[in-house]
Amino acid sequence: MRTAIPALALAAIATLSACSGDARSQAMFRGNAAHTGATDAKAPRAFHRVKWAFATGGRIVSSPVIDQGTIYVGSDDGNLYAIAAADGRQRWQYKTAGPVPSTPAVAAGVVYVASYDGKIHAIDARSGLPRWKFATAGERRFEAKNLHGFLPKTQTIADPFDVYLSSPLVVDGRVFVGSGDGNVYALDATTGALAWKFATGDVVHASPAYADGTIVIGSWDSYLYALDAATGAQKWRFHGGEDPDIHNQVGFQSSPAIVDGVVYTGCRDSNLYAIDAATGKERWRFDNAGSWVVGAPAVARGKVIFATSDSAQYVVLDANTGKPVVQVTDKAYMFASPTVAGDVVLTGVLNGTLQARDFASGTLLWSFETDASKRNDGWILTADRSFNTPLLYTSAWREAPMVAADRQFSVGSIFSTPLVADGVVYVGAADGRLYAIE
Amino acid sequence: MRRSIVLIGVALWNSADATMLDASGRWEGAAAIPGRPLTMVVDLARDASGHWTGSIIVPELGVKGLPLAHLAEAGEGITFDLGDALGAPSFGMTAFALRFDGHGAATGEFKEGGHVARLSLRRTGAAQVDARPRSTPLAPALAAKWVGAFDLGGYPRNVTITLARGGDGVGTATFTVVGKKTTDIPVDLVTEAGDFLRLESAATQVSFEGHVTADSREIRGTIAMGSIELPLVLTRAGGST
Repeated sequence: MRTAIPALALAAIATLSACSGDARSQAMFRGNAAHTGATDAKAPRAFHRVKWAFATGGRIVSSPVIDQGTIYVGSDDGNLYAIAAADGRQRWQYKTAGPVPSTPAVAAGVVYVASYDGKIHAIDARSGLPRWKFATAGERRFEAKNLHGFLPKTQTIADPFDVYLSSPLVVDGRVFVGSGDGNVYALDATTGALAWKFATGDVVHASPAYADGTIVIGSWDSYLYALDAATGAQKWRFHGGEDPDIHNQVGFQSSPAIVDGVVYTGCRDSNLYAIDAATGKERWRFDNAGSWVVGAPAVARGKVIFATSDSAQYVVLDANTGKPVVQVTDKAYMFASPTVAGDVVLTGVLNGTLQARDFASGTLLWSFETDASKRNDGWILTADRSFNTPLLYTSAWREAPMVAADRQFSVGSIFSTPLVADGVVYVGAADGRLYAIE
Repeated sequence: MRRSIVLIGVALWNSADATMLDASGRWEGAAAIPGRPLTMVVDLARDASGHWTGSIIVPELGVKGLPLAHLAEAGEGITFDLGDALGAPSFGMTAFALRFDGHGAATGEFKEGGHVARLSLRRTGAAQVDARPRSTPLAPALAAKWVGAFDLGGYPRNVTITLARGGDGVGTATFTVVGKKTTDIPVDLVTEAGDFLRLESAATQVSFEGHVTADSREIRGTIAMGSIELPLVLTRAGGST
């Protein structure tokens, strides 16, 4: 009995810690620290209207998060925005010195976000004023010689599809985030002081997930790392595919989800992996035949939901076996991470549409198309809304692939992960707008 | 009777006009794709047998001298397409329909990816139709099945190329790549010059080229897929075909 009292007390403290320590907060990338991408909030099963659209000055790659009625989202115009969920009016904007394709996290009245200025920013959620900034060794995109076969072969070229920055995770008073400098950082959430950093071999633009004292995060060096959240010590690392010739099939751009002791993650090597969270051993893999899995998988009710890039596959797997339950060929590349909201799965598509599918069957319930996608200037899309490849990637020389990628994204591509709150779907688009859809 | 003579005369005049379709020349202009006018140069001419032939230049798409396919007269105009090149998978060939006003202007439609845009061209000079590259005779010793393998994206791909000689001795080839799936690559050009062999597929932008070893047992070269180029050694798998 004497031992039972401290045990109960410890359990109570642990529960309080989980609540106040943000592990249960919805205000972060993928909605929780384990990055399940699943929420109890109910998404609409039919499209009614665009409630409001908030315009920024650059494409929105960042995903919106909500805390106490305020939506926070980054924009490639360099700002972090706080927007009233009720009416879409701006509460404040915070200027960084670089694009913000990172998803903010909110904890204890502070918003944390990464910027291409190479800094992690902590901003007062109420006022929009800076609390602290932490300078990494600097941001950069993944780059390689002969990347995707781009010319000249011997010149290092930055990847136009490396569109995201790592999104901070806040757990137990620490901010965890990856960086283009190759490090994973743990910072004191209050002061921004460095707790530890862990060096990987290449750009870290995936976002960390947390479970049971462990941070799991992938790097473009082809490894997925499990790190002790307290010390930064490596617990294990898992080796994905390599591609020494054109560096097309390498790197963890996808962020992991951790559920019931299993890490689920996509990879540029075209696999969706299930990895034992304790040992780092592979449980199963699902091969997507050369098509990247960029978005983070969602895990809900024994299913793993993800989407592929150029093969445009929407896939639902059995979480235990890795066997496909639903597989649907969509119209265009998907980089965005799916969100499970009740019996609806929301997925952003790079052709400028947001799609809502039935969780069980994968049947398309409704879709929303940006105005830019409808206009389809320059015939970026074919008449059936697929990418019009013959008119896009016409040369591998100089900046042509970069121009082609930008042109591709000009239809209001949706890189952003949808957020669902109070029956409203919030999602950013490359047309610079944050949409509230109901 | 006078009326019949007049009608016959009109019919003859129309017939003569039809055979005199004045479409030869270099035509320059643009397809009015919304937000991105696509400039192009179309060369049209009749060959020795009187059939239409032509080629196209589209600088923005990196296209120079692409042969026009399925050329056909249609009333006062010509229709053609680009064959397997530049076609969007779900919508087939990129197609053109042009009508000529007889005064140096041509207008019509440009169809691509399920869309249709207005096409406006003006004659700027004489036709400069690009000659189509032709396959060359193939040495009998090379007519065989050749196999090899390469790695792309960390995965092995097995290649089988079967070279054969046509009735006139000109080289033909089948080209199959087996990776996660099997891909048959249509080969439209086989050239041999000295010990250097080249196979080309315009539609897929895949090619293989290499040197034949002195004992004709291997072809050591590279496979190119667009701008991606990887080493590939082919080994003779069987006897002459």
